[in-house]
Amino acid sequence: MKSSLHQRQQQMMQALLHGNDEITQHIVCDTLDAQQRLSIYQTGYRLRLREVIDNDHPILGHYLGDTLFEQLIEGYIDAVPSAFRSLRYYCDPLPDYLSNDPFFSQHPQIAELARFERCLLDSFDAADCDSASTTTLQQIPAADWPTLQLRFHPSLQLFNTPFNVVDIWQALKAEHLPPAPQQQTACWVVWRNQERLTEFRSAEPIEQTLLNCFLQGGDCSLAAEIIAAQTNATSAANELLTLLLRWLALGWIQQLVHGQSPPNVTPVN
Amino acid sequence: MSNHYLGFGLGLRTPHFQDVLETQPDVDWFEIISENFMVAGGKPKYYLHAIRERYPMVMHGVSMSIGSTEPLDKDYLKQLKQLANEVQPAWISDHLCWTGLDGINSHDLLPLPYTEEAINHVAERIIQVQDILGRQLLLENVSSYLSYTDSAMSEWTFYNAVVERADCLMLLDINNIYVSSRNHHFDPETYLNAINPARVRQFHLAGHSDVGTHVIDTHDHDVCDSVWALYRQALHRFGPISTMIERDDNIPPLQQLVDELNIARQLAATTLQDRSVREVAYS
Repeated sequence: MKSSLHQRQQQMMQALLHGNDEITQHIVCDTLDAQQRLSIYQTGYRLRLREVIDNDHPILGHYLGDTLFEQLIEGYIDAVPSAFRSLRYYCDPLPDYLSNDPFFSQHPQIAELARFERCLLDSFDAADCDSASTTTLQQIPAADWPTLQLRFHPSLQLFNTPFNVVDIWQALKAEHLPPAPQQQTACWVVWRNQERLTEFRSAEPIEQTLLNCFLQGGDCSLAAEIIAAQTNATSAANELLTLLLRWLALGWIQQLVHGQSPPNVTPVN
Repeated sequence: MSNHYLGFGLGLRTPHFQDVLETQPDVDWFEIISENFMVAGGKPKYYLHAIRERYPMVMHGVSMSIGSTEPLDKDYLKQLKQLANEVQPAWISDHLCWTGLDGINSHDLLPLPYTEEAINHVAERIIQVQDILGRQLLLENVSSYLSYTDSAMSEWTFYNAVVERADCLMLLDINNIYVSSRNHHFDPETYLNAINPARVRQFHLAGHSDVGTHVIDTHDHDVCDSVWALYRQALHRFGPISTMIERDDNIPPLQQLVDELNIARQLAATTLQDRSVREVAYS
């Protein structure tokens, strides 16, 4: 048999999530009636979630304009109750919601824009760790180089997108008119710099391939083979060294490790 | 004065992180919202640790959902304990309420019916949480806008009973007592006078929004005169209790909150002096 406490809690959640007013018969009425008292909680519930969407996705809101952003907010709150203890994560399912919503899915760049903003947030509060330095690389004996593997900073993510959403994001951020949405395969690297600010920059196809290679546990020997096969570089080793030094300077690399260790970072997106 | 007395504190909020480090304001301690720091790293954790090196802290949670009839969230408690290991807070608090059911969080502090069933249920869960955390929990009275026809006792009777049965402590929110007294038409002094002084470890002060027909606990205004008056009553009854001001919206510059905290300091100084004079006179 259900306890009365459990029943009241079920009724209250039904009132908050679905507007069901069965609970009102169990609410004390006086100067305010039961519906008025209940509506304070119902209004507060939606306001709180609305504020999170607003705060987490300011550029998306700007892109959509007031009417469509309102439609997104109302639809998302109705469709996706929070399964999280912290509101920080409430909008994590937003890109999937937008991809599946009958209206918003007609404009797939919208879900991609949301996914980019989630990606920025994820890098912002990813785990801390020290980054490796160029000195660390220089101290590694040449004989160990072929089996050298990389462990990346936890904030580093590859954002692969079939739309020009980062260009759209940047234009809106600078308060310029955004470019028209275009289908174009793009790969962006998102990370948190040493001042704890989130940065991103586009990755050339070869850089993207090599990042994926190392993220999946590949070593320098495999990376050099990829460079030799896919570029016109006269020296694959020099090309790789240039790339590694650049990544080290950007703070992307957490650790340089010797062969056969399983990767500890999974490519994201 | 008990050795748990921390003095006068503020809620640590993101817009003030940098100011706190740069100006090292005259604040005795900070209270953090635990959930805001349940992240892996980055700026929130950096500021948390840097400020913790300079100030005592307490942890205040908003989603333990101690009154819910769904099972305790062990993952949440594990994260809370991990954060406590990092922060080494003077104490950990949450609210005497429930926040969700069946895996769905309302992110609101929902009131409980004041029944024997609820006392037993909540007390048993507090005991489990205290076992997991290895310390006594402080529970705060919430502002409420509705009460249930099921309730068989006053809020203060319920609060005392839960705390006694679970052997936990109280974070008495003076503003919440005021807000609920307006919304449910009771005398806030009756509430204060019923509370067991031995259980009270901390006071909260905050502002609210008075919409005429009722009052909402918005934390977006200065502390109002009526709440200051009730704080004075609380000081008379409970003596020196660690006090902090919460501000969560319409957040002013840090110095403005420090100035407001100084009102609490002055009020406590004069009230407690009167109290000790009275105690001497009657001893």
